[in-house]
Amino acid sequence: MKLFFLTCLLVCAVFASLFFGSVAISLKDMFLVFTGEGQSSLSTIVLNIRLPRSLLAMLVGAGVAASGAAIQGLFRNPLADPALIGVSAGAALFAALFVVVGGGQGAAMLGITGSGFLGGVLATFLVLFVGRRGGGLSTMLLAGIAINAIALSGVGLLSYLSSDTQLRSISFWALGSLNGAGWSSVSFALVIPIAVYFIYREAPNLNVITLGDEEAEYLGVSHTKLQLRIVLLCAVAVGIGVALTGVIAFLGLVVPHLIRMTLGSNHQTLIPASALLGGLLLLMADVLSRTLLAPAELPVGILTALVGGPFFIYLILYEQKTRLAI
Amino acid sequence: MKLKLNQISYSVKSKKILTGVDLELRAGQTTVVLGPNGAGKSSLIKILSGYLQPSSGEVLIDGQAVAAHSLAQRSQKIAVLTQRSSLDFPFTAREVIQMGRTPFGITDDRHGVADELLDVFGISGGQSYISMSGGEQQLVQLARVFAQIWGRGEDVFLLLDEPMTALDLRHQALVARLLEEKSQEGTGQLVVMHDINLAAEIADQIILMSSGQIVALGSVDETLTVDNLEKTFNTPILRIGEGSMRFYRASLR
Repeated sequence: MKLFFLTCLLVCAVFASLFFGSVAISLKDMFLVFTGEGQSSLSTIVLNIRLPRSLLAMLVGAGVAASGAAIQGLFRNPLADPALIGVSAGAALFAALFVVVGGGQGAAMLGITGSGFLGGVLATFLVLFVGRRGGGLSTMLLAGIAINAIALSGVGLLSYLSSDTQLRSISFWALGSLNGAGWSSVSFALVIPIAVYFIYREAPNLNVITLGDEEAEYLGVSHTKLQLRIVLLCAVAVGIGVALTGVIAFLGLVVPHLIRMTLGSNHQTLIPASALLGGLLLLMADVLSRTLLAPAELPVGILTALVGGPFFIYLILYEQKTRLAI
Repeated sequence: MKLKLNQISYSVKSKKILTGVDLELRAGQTTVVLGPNGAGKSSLIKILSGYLQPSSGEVLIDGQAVAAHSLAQRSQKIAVLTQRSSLDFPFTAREVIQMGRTPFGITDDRHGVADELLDVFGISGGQSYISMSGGEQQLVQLARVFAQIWGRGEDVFLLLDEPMTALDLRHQALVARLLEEKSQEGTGQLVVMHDINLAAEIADQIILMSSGQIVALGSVDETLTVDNLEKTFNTPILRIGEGSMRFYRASLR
């Protein structure tokens, strides 16, 4: 029932988001656009700019938040974030590398996306490799922290070496933005719901892994195999999102936390609800980012961090208080 | 169902944890393992369940090597309670107990089994696990492990590592009664505990362990002697009373 409510809210939000932007569109004009009788300029704005952008926000938000829920379950830590598996930092490094070393302006969109995705997946593999050799989740966590630091220092180095134009590209990408989203981006992003579906199928196993690796084995769940499946699925779900939009901060951390506080910890509810709320929140953040300073646009990553950060501090304090009260 | 250990030794680096352990556990039999901390009791459970590979020797489930059984098959035959679970998410008690039915897939009546166990253990299903006291959490974990063997009689084994930890007397008695009931249904059980007197009450067979070796193995009367207990725990033991009224405790002098 609650999932149905979230789904309805998300569909309404996608529709409502089409009204927001530098050009105001009336309900009547919107109706005409969807019946194919609207002005061509309005049709272009709604169907080729705002709709793909809203859909992309929804898909990317869903992927990041569902991955956050799965990674938190896997690491048995409600403060874990998909960035811990290195995907965001790896994507940032390769995107920066493409801008500085391979950076033509023309094919930049496809190149930066492809490089970002490749970087995200490679960094994840590296974290997995080091983590598995060390033999435990804590090693993987530490490997993630180290590889994040290395990749981000690489981004720093590339920023230092880059020209002013390149530096601007790197900075904008690192801040996260849905600007320039089109149907080609949406078609790439359609892989995200597939990855989220496969993450959802692991929900009973993720429930069990929260008891501990040993307990999971006694219940027939191999923690090493589950670890591999979840990390790879999250690398795809987050990697594609990050590659298409840049780094979206805090969503993967805050959304599952919020759902856990309201709907509980069962991953069979937590994962789909996180996906729906993540999609909804990124969509709302994007609407704000393009309307707050219109006609200029604020990178959406700044907004998610700006709102998500203080909210997360509130959540931590609230939870601490609740626990102390117990 | 039968579980057998043949000449099991287990070492971590150069440290010997278990040495030359021979053991046979049968359906419907309750075996209690007693011994000081670090005697290798928990390792014994991990090896019996197939979680740890012994350095030498073999583990047999119904005459077949444990490795011949897949993880999924083992989880349908052996349920294990570990000393502590890391669960730190606000699952409800009902959800935790339902996790015990994971080996039986989505068609299983996990809700029905969980409801039954909530009733047996007197737990409120909607209560958040992380808001419970240590004893209540232990009860929920026990209920989860019982859920894994519920209704499966002699086809399963129950391996419990210190199940009475943090439980009050009423709940200790409840668990002891439940073990007795499951034993009568044919479920084989191995229970690690520290309470010698409760062990004498529930065991068909007792194993006294020290420094990774079996000091004594046999019936309650054969094994629970002052001499054996002193050898096992390396401390003076007092026996108070005789026959079925006897009672053991460590001498404080």
